[in-house]
Amino acid sequence: MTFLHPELLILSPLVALPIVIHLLNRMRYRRVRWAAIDFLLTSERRAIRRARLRQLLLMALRMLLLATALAALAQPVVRGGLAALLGGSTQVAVVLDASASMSATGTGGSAFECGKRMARAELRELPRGTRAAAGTFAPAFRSPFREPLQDRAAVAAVLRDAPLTGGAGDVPRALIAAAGTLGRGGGGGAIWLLTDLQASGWRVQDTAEWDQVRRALHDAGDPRLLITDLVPGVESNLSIAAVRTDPAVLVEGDKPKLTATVELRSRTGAGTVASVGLFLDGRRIDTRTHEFAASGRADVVFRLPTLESGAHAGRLELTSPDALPADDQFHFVLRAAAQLPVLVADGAPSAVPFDAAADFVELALRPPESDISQRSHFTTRTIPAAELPAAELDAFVAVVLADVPALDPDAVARLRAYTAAGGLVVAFPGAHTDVAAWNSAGFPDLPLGGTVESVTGKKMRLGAVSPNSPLTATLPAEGLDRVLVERLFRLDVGERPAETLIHTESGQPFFVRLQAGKGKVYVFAVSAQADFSNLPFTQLLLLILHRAIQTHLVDAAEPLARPAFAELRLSLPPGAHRLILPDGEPVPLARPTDGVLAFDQTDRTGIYRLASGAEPPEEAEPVAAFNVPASESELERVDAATVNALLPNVPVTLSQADSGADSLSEGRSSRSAASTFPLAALAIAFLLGEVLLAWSMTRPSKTATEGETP
Amino acid sequence: MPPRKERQIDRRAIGRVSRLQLRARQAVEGYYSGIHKSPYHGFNVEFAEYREYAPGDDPRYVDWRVLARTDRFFIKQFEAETNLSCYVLLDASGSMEFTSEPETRLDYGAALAASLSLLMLRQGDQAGLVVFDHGVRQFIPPRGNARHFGAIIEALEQVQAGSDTNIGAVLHEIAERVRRRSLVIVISDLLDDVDTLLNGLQHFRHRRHEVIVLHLLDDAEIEFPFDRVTLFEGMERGEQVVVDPRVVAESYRTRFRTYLERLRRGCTEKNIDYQRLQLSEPFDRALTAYLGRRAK
Repeated sequence: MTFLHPELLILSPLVALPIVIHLLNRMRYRRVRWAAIDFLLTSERRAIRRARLRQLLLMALRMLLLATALAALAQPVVRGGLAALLGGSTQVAVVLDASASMSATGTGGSAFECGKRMARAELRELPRGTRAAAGTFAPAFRSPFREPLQDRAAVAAVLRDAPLTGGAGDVPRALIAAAGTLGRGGGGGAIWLLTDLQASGWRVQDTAEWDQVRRALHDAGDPRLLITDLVPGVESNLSIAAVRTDPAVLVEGDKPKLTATVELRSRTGAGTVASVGLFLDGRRIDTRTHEFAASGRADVVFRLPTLESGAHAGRLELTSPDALPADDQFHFVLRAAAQLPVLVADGAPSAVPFDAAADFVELALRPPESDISQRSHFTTRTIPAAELPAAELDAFVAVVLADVPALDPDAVARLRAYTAAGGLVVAFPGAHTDVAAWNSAGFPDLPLGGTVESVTGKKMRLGAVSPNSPLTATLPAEGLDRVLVERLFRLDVGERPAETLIHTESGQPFFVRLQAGKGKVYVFAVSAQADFSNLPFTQLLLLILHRAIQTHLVDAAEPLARPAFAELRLSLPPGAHRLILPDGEPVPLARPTDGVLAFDQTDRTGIYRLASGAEPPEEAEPVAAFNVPASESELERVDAATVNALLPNVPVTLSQADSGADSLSEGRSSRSAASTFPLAALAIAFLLGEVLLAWSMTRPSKTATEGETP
Repeated sequence: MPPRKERQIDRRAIGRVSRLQLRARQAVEGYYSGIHKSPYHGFNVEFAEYREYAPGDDPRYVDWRVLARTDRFFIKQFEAETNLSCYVLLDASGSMEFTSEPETRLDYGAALAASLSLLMLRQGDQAGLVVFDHGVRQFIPPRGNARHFGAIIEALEQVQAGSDTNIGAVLHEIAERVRRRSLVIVISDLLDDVDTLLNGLQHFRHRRHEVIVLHLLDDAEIEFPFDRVTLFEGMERGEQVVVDPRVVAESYRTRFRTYLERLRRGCTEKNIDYQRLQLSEPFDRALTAYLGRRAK
């Protein structure tokens, strides 16, 4: 036996309350020293024994009263013959797939609308007494029903108002949730799954998840599983799988390239022509076409207009719609920075040009345009290292420590806070660096072990690089062998969570990356001056610095787009804010104490905008774009054999849209009853018994024998 | 062991009572001249009756005037008033500690015993005291002098409620020890088997003692005025019983009334003066009323 509200059983210790009260009363008995005790002991022995029995009976009745009342509230559920005896009924949980792929349109409309109509019609036709619940699922199961209800009109209304989401389906999770609903309704019955059977949503490879499904179904009394295939028969599908810009880090004035990856999925293998339109800030920018000869992916490249600083809402649209419209649009948000300022802390300022390491760093970050193929996005500000404690580091995309002799505790604290929040620090120890002070300061967490000098007359060369890092993977071809090292600091990597990106030929770490909070610290083994190596005179310093900062900015930047249902984290300044959803619906936001709000109602695809104060929605800043996940564009479907293999002991009926509902009315052997009436009647009976007994106990005994004396 | 509590007897109340008289209703024998009739008819003090002369009679008591008038021999008989021996038997068993009043049953009984003793002494009789529970705890033989009262008072002030009781057996024991015909006053709660109790009292009557039974009762014992579940604890053997008075009260009252009636009837049949005294009534007033009724 199970309970509809097992949480109420936590009150079961209350059943012992009459015993406690009885014991307390015993402790509170009035005590009387009585001379004529024999009159009570001898002549009333029977009456006293009877009174004791009555008290015990009264206590038992009260306990039974509490137990039955509690059980009635918890609503026990029985199955089988007893359930039929108690008038139990069968139940059904309707589970409608609301993933983006259900937008596939056939002659009767979308699969989703078709499923809603079918479910509502069948709910009306269910036999009287049948209890029902309904919910939709994409990544998560949504249902307002804790257990199936007799009010099938309410269930149908929920289905009528259910929206199609832009998310991916998750069938196992939906089945577990539906099984829980039936379990709370007494178990047994049937789960009616209306879906397009898209393979990605079934997660066939996730055996652990399907183990849970089997357990949940078993725990729910092994309900039948009816599956209705709603797919209208999509033969091919074009979708926009991804978008990227070049450069990845955008700055005001850029005219970046935008590359859209378009994918054709075709059952027949036939090709097609994809026509893609680009919209930015509501304006059509361009339309490009690509001819697919067969299934596959292709990049469609656009040139964006000159960007102003700020966020720009963009959209790619397949202008040749297909049977699956949900993935024919791809929304994105471009963010162009006004500038990328870098702070250079100069450890040994000098009036002589290029006497200080900071001069070479500045030059690498802002080289003459003739030295690089593209203009640099960076601006620099150089300060003496002693002013670090007073600097506002958050205003800079990176901080470079150039030949800093020693960091005082305040500077260390600032740098730690900066990296913990996601900042980037690049350190060049140099001739002025006090090794002992560096090591005792503890920042960066990479002790220096003194300098290693080159063998007389022969300079060290750089050898291995990390092939997996985009910073260094191409350096061997870009002149790594031109770097000659006269001396370098020994970097004590040890067991630290650090990655050596460049080694010398002798295996000494030359360039090391450390993770520090959300940020990073890069440490060179040489200075940015020419006294350690010729690195400042090679293009490698420029390449490494630029790539390190840009890679970090790309890593830390908000993505261009996210899949539906991903969590959106918003840093809210003080004041009133609204989030404008893609369809224009405003959602008031309550600012948390730390200012960072997690928003997860992102089931609609499109641009989400943040409006501050009374700002009109159309002027609100775009903050994020949510799209249909690529998995929803797949055409692979599961078949009956796969479903039966996943659920070997579950009675599964798989049918097409026009016949699936018929089996709902069949096989009502799996009944359950959750009626509390018998228990409530029992509780009332016990209450009456208790009242009668208590009343009888207040009446004097008539059994005393006249004339009997002690 | 808790210090013994010395009883304070209300001597003024005793003084009020002692101005009364307690007359024996039957003839008693004594050493001194008192207010009670002697069974030994003599020839002084007060004429009683005539009877015909019989051989062996002392010719000194022949009434010659009657002989002269009637020519028959009549003997003049006189009654001599004599003093009385009185034994006050005070029950000091555990149940005598009971009370729902300010003073215990034992206090009440001790005051009664003191009053009766003083009363007897003041009217020239002899008073003795027997304190008992399951046996005789103290036996003060009757004396007639004034200092004797001091001994009785001292004994009464010291008396403490003892253990359980067996009144019937104790009365037999005391009856064996009292040889001279006396007035025996039993002061007790009489919480014992009625038949055994009456047998004990009968023993006194068998020895031709006059017996007065003063039955001390608390109002609560008669009325049983409880209304919620109560743990009753015996005062002599410590028995405990939890009782819902709503269940047993009526039955208890019936049984107690029956017990009292049997006791009263048994005493009446044995020519024993039975008097119930309730602790709610001051002992001097109750005793005054009783003696007044008895004097009639």
